[in-house]
Amino acid sequence: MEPIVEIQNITKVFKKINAVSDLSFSIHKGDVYGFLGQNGAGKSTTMRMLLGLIFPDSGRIIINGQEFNNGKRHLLRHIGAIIERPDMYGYLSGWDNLKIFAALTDRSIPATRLHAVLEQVGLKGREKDKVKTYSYGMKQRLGIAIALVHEPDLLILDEPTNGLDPQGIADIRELIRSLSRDHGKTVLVSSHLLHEIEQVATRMLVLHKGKKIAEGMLSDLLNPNEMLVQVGVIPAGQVQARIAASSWQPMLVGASADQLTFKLHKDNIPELNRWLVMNGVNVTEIRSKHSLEDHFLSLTNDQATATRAI
Amino acid sequence: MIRIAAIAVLLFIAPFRMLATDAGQLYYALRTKVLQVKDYTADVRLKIDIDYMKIPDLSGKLYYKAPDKMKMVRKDGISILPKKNINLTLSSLIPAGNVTVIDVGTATLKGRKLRILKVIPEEDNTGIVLSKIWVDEAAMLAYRTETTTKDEGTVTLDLEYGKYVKHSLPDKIAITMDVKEYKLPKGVTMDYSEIPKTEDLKEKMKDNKNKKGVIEIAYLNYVVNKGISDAVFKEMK
Amino acid sequence: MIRLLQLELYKIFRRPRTYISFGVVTATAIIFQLAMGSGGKEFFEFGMQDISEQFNVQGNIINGYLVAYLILQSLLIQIPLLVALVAGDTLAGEANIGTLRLVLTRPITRTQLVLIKFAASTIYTILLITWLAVIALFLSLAIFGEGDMINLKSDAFVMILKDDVIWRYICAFGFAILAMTTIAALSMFLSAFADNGIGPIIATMGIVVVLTILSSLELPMFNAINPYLFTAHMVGWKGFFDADVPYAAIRHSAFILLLYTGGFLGGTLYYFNRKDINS
Repeated sequence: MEPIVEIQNITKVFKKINAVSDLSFSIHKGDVYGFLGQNGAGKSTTMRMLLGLIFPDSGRIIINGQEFNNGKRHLLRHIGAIIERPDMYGYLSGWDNLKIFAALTDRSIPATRLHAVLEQVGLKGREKDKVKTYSYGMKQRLGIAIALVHEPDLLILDEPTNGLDPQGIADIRELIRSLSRDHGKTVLVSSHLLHEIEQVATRMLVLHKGKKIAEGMLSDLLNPNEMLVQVGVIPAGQVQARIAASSWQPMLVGASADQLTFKLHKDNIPELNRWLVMNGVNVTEIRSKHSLEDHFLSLTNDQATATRAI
Repeated sequence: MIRIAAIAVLLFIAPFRMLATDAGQLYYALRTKVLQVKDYTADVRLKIDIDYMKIPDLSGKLYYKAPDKMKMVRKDGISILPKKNINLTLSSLIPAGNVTVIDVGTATLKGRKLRILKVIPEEDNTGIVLSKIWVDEAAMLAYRTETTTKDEGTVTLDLEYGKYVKHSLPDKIAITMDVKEYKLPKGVTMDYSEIPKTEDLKEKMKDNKNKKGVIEIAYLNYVVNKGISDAVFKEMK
Repeated sequence: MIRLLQLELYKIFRRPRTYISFGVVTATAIIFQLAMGSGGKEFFEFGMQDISEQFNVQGNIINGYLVAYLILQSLLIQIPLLVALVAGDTLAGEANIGTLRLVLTRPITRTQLVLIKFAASTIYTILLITWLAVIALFLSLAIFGEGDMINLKSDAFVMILKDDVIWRYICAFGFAILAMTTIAALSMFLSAFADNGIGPIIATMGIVVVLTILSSLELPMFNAINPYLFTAHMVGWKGFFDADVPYAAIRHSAFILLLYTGGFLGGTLYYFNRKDINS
């Protein structure tokens, strides 16, 4: 299947700092593509390049099979976006804002569509109020309405849950899922929090200091082989020496006086437990982390330089 | 200074004074005729030819009342007349009261042979130091006066007669007078400096000082001696 | 394009700031009219000293035409500020509130955006000057009446008959629109470089003030560059109040202003089409 967006080897340098280095990836129709990275990792810069806000120093951006540049801004009709904050004209109503941004396309959008999109984001009834009276969450939803109003194929949402309360976060999450599931939209969503991505994304890319350090299907990234198991122990004897002599040694990734950390398959946990008890280790606790969080942290902390396809 | 010079002239020509008796009679006769006009109203057309004054021809109504009231009125408009002491009438440019008159011969002006009188007032109340008058003796009309005043320099009045000759009133006059320099700082006026310049202002400015200006008045009609209220001459504030 | 222009104007005219300009013009004109009403004659006589010594100038001197001229002259410095208030904010103001980012994710070209904003700024300028005409000229005429207009130049005393004035004002306002459009283009050019509206507004004013001072200093060292400064040509509207209108000079000035406007607009398009939007 032809990708909606294809990024080929883009690089952007700001004042001698590589914001994005030789980055390539593709977004296919139906993906909810998670963009994960710490603040300053290059997520926003990449999204801005994809939207023509920033011009890459090198590399190509292909949207719907056509190379995108400042002369091909009409290709942006396939994309709707909110980048960073949902900034609007505060002195105008939500309706006026929507109308103004809806007009910034090459086709006319009927009022019925504006109403429909307001309904979709749950702003119906508040559209006549001035935006400066809106809460952050309402602005965020209006931003999404603006991004959706011209019916783009791809929706780019940069940190959409930033600054929202838990209910707002849950609403946005549900909205993203519904856009993908019910409306067939492709979504590129970024976050610096893995669990945000984890809950909505089907594919993801991990960015660190402008470089891709991991990319793949979420199910692959949630590889049970990579489970982290923390074992609390009462310090006694030669625990580490015994492990060193055992077949568990390759799986041991961290050890302190009262805690051992293994990286192993979920099915191996009971076996490890048995072995520890049998070898006279007093186990106080076993915690397994079935989340990408540590994976992400370990990727960004330990292996930042290595690009790995998982 | 001018007055002293005039007195000197007077002393110098004193021996010829007797010869001037005819001239004196001529002057008094002329003055009597001129002073018969007590007042008039006239539609006029005023043309001001002074270098720094860019003024189109002005049409208006001119009111005159003897001895020294004059006013030009233009409906909703602005009128510009030289200051009082040199009124635009013959009567104010020829000295009043007792005078010394000297006949200085004849001259031809625009094909007309005229007698020239020098008139020196004996009283000092008009500001006039000396008047030179070109008179048509037969018609008893003054065709030119050249009046030296204490404060306003020399004023020359040329007159042309036509329809109103019986009142000794001219159809057209031209007043030639000294005009002072005019200048305002550019920082105040914030002028538009033309580029390219249509005229070289700097060149023009050089000879702006104490130039002669000419004011022409064409009298289109007169209403003479019908009486004019003094209120007419009150300046609008 | 028309629809986008309408919406741009809607944005401009829904903002309270826009009306500050109209308020300032109104207030300045009315204060001036009050001042001229109470002490105008004395004020004007000061300038007329040289004339009054020798001539009796009578009639309705302080009339609507003269008052309008004096208002225009005194607003010479303020109007560029008022134009910059809107034009300088077009790009930078949107960058500041963050909407530029959203605008530029939409499928319109940056060239379109700049042209729309320039057109909107020009329309705003036209409306501001038209309002100035209403308040400075027509209100003054209503208060002070018609009359012949005296124009005191540094080297000439000009008087224009009352029936000969109004066309000059129409031309002068037309020229003022052209001059202020140049200011709008300058402001927008500066606006393209900035990420908040204050910078371009102040920079526009700074440029206008400094160049105006240079233009009026008449120092030999500046005389060489003076003909190339757009500020020297901005007062071209005054040419229409000369006894003999210097059409060649006015045409030349208009041409220079158009050249600057085109230059600023071209510069804006060039830079803005290459600018990274980081705001």
